[in-house]
Amino acid sequence: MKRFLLVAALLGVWSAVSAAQAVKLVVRDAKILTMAQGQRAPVAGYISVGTDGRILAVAAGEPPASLNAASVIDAHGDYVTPGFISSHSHVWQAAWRGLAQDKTTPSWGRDLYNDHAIRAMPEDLYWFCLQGSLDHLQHGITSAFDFALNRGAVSNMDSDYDKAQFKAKMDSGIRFEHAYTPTLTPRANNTNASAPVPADPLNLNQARARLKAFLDWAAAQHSPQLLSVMLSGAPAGGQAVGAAILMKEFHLGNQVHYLEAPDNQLQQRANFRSYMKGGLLGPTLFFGHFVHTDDYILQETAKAGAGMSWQPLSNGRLAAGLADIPKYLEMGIRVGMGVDGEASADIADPFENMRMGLYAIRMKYADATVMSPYQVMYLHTMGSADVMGVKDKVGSLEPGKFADLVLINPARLGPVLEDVYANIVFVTGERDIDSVYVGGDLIVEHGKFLHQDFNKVQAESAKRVIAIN
Amino acid sequence: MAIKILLLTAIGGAAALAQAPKVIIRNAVIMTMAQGQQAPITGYLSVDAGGKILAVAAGEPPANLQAASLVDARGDYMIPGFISAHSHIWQAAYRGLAEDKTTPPWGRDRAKYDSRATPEDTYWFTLYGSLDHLQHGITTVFDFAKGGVGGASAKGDNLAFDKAQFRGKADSGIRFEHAFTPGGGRGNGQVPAPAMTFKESRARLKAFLDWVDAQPPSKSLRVMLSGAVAGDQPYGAAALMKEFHLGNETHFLEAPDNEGQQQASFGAMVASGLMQPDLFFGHFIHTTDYILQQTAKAGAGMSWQPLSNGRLASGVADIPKYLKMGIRVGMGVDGEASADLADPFENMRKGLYAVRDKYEDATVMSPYQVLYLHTMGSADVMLVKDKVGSLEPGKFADFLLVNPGRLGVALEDPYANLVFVAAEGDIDSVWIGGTMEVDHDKVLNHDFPKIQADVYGRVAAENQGKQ
Repeated sequence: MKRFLLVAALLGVWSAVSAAQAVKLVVRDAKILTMAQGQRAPVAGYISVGTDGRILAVAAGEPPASLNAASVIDAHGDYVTPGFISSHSHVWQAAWRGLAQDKTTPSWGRDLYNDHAIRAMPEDLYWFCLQGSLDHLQHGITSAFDFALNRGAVSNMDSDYDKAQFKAKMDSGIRFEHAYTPTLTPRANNTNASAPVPADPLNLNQARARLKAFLDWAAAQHSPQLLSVMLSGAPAGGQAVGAAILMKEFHLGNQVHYLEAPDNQLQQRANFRSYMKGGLLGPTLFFGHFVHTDDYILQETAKAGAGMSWQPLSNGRLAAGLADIPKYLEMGIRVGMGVDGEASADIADPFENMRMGLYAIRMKYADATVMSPYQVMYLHTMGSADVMGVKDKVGSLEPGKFADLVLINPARLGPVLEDVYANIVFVTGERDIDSVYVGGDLIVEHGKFLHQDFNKVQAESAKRVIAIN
Repeated sequence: MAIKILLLTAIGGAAALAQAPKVIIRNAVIMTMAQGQQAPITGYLSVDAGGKILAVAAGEPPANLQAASLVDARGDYMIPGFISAHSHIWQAAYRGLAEDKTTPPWGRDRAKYDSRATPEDTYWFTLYGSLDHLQHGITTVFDFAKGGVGGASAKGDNLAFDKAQFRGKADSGIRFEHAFTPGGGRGNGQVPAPAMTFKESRARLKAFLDWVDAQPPSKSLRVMLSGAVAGDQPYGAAALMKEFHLGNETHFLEAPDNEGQQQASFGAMVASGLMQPDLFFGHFIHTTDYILQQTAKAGAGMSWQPLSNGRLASGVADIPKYLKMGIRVGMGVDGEASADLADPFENMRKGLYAVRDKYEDATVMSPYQVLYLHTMGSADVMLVKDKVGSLEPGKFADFLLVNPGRLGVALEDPYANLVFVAAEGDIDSVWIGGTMEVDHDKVLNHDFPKIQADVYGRVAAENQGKQ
């Protein structure tokens, strides 16, 4: 109770600061689960949002009468949570669900990339990526780390595939990191991908020039939704050195797919030394999947301050296995969560993704204290923001951060007798989402998009999939 | 292959000519789940006045077939309604409790809240939970009724709780098996059930069966026993199963706590004659090879509840191994206090992905197989595979229409699109006996929001002054 008063006092200070700014939106009569440090108890009150789409105040009670907002929304007692963050998505894959249903990652990848998606043109990818971004938003994901499909050769300075996917995300309304693959890398589905590749200075120079051109183009788009361009990966050998050089030179974060498939684990683990030697490990690096680790890899990852992104739905579908998240967290490894591409976690529902992960861990440990509903919700919001390097901008509802919100109808979640986070994490499905806001703008209301015709986008995307095949 | 199907369905159609269908659903992509019919049939399904399927056939219904109602499915997938072989429906009123507990302390925690529930409360809780099941596409349920024999609220009727819950299901419109605990179970929280003698239990069961027989027609499939584990109870249960021709589902080897002690009670189950095809186990996770061999030999089955087993940290049942050994397997969503969301699609994914994670092998179970378990598999262990579980002439017309709009282009296997992607939001409608019960999430024959609010009010009233 005392703590509650203290919070109210702090919030009062924030409100005072914000009084000077124009208010574009107030959401009142809400139960706000801020996910902010030290604020576990829901705040029954309101959120105000400035014209820049950032949160001005989160406070208990009614907004002050002096607050002149352009729009006031009555949440009717809805829960308000931060928008979910997927720290590992391949948004374009939304057009390719249900493929290779009995395969693990390498042969699934051959089916998806080599047999199907290889014939997709930039314009196709625009539609696939728009569909996937909208699909993410509809399920309450407001920020995504998106691995763009890399179809650019080193010599291709246009990056036209990347540009198409970048534009699609802009047009969808989602907040994003665009992960760019600067080098002509062997794809993850190439079974020889883990064989050492010698460093090639010419390759690096070309990659640098191509990356520089794309970064310049991205900056010129002035997208308010762009969080940052990131690097995608770098497999084995000399490429780790190249990736580390580019990360440093351009101040870019990097997510590397690593230790996903159960196939060839020894070979995969052997690559770790080249990551270390290449200088890749550091706080701006995180691994995608990171299932088949060993103690040495974990210790070095923790020591370097690096992180990982966990995709439980995808890991189950592809029989990748279960990452030992409680152990990683205990060792101090930073952990975010992603829904992955809809071709491997064919439903991009962060609520189901949380349950899938939480329950898999509980089954493994035969211990229900090993992870709580609050903890897994933290991983899919603040945890993801952290590994993506944007925890100052998104992941919790605090003044100065973006007003990316999910309004959840409590009607079907049951009476809350003990822990409100248990009701939310154990029960909520897509149908319980009343609305989704990005930067204080309403994007989805009761499953419907305000600025896009989702059915049309899906039909266009399906038409292109059929044409390609 | 195609010719064979046409011939079969032509016969079905001929037999049906005598009866005028009450409804025909046309333009559907039908996944029948019938033996040898994995390829979807693009065509229609006709239903007789009794709610049973007349025909499932490719193409358009014949022009001379006059139905009272003709429904255009607009290319929707049609699948059998899901069957939950293990539910505690009344628990829908108590979601989210004991979030960090395994089964035994979770059960004790729940009893803190539900101990004051009256028979009338359990009627509303059961009606609410049944509608929640229906809304998510579950059309048939095996329901463990909440135990209880006495207390002031029962007004001297030691069947009051069971009757209330039977009525709750009957009024909801769901098809069901009511599982009865002859000895009254653990009782009603604050009012512990008195230890009943076999004779008293038998008399109580007989009285309940007589009461059920006297009820107006409902969608009750049959009464079942809710099993018995400790002491000499298996002997009593085996005797009652035999005398009254009842099936039995027994909770066994669920919690990770005290595995050894739990396993030790298996000897009495074998010795008592409990092990037979009419018995199936609920959960059945912490098994031994001996237990599995005996279960397979007896032709007994089990019901798998992956969502609940994850939530309560019970563990993963080794389903591929059980199936290989010949043990019959169904699936249940369990009570909403332990699998707080009763969604069979998510339940399938949770199970399928848990098994794939365990084996690190994606061939170990397919989308088709897990869909089979949650339909035909459940019908089989519940002893009603002649009535529900697949879309075949003579069976009840219990089905879902699933909108393919968001499921993606089915380039390889439509079952993969369905099982990997579908959720509640993709269900267009839910039908029982050829009658639509749920339309785009809206329960048609009840005021669901009002019932829900009423239930929350009752739970709040019971727990006033607690916490």
